[in-house]
Amino acid sequence: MENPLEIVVVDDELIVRKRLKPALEKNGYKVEVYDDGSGVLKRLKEKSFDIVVTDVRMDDVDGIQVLEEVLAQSSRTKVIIITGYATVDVAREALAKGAFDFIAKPFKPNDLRVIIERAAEALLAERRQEG
Amino acid sequence: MGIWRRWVSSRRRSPSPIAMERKIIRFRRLVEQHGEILDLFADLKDKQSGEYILDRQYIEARLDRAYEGVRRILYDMQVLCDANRADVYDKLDRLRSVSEKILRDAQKEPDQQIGFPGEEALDWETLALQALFQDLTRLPAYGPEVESRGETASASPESLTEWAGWGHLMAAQWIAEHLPSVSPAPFANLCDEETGELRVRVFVLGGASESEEALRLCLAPEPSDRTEASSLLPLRTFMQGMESPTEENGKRRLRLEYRGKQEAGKRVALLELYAGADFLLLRLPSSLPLQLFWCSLSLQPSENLIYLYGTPLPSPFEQGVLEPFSSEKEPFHAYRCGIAGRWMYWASHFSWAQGEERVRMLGHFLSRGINARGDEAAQEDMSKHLQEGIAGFLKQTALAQREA
Repeated sequence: MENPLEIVVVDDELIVRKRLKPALEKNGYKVEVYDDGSGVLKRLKEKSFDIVVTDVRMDDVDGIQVLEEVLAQSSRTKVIIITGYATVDVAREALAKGAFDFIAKPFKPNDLRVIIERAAEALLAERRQEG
Repeated sequence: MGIWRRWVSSRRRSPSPIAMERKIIRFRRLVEQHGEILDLFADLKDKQSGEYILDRQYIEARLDRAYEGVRRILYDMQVLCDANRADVYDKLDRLRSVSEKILRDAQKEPDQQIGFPGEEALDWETLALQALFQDLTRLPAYGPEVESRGETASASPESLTEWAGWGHLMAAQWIAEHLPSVSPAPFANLCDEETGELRVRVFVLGGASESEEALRLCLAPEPSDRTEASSLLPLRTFMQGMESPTEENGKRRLRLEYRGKQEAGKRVALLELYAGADFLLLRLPSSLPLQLFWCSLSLQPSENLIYLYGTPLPSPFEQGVLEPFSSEKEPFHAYRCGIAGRWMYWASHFSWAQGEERVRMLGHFLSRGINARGDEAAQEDMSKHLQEGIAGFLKQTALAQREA
């Protein structure tokens, strides 16, 4: 891909944001982080991202709402859901609603990188088909 | 009525087969639960390594599981001891409140949540050791008869943490709960000697009687008595005696029980102290089932536990549990028992042997213990070390006799 992937990470846990941003930037991705769903939805109105990584359980706007909003705005954006411990059922619901994949905490940053790489390949394949 | 007294009184009655079956079931459950808790903490340790990204929900869920497991263990313990102490559950609930508060406080200071949320605050070992150390420093000092002949370690919380090899949350919680009330200061009798790679650490708990002092000298001889470093070491050995009478000069010797009164909780806490010991030498009048019980509760028990009985084993039941271990040539009766994947050794009729004979006997026993682990090189090394120690002890004894 010519331009680096643009990724947005939404999680209300600071530790997740602090760990994921540098971990993903190390792979050459452009990463923005948000601590709540409403903040990222506002940002998504201004700009579209290639990949949205969102926690499923947040106070104001939850991950499922973020997923729905993102896909309503841009169906090509890949949404990866981060589920909390023992909330895998919610993740299944997210997959049914069009999420690209999910990852359950606790996880290693590398596990997420693998999913992002797959999402990037899917994006690339779609672009080739379009173009 | 304490757990110990209840246990003793219940033992005098003939237990019904149903009651016995129930106890066996509870004991099995206890061992299973113990295993699950160990797995849980192993998982937590893995997740705490820094590689994983986790959240508060995960920690809370694991804490819930840990507390539930401990609650079940407490229940099993009460059934086994015929005890009905609601206060232990209250203590557990208090601990739970503390951990929940720590998690809440960590949330208030999000900038410090790098790595493992609340990592510092969850350092139970340090918290428990600090509490323990503060308590110990308030206790009166003891006479020179209990001082180490070696380089007595300064018992800072850090050195104790390192020394005891603690790595278990519950261990420290138990200690935090129970040890501050244990008297007097056992750490005054910590002997820690280091010469190059050779390091011997002996911790004498209990009555530092003449024979125990001899044992200690045998296990941790003066640096000058050694000739070569041993690859086996560090050898961690704990010795615990009890019933040390008050001296004529009014000085009390180290001991862990109050006037012979024992509490299971303190025993458990003390066993936690033994975590990481290569050998645990206990000289206790208590019964074998209770000792088994304590050992099963020990979350990181020693690989080889050695019990030195001053008297014959109390009952045929207990002899039936144990497997004879000594040969006919040996001047004492030794037994062993496998529990939770470890061997424990018992030596009965120990009190007949005195002075040098007792030291020789212990040296022999330790060698056997190491040999039972299948480590021939270690056995050879240990035997050599013990021989040196025994030689040093005999030399000192001879010198003392000449001086006298």
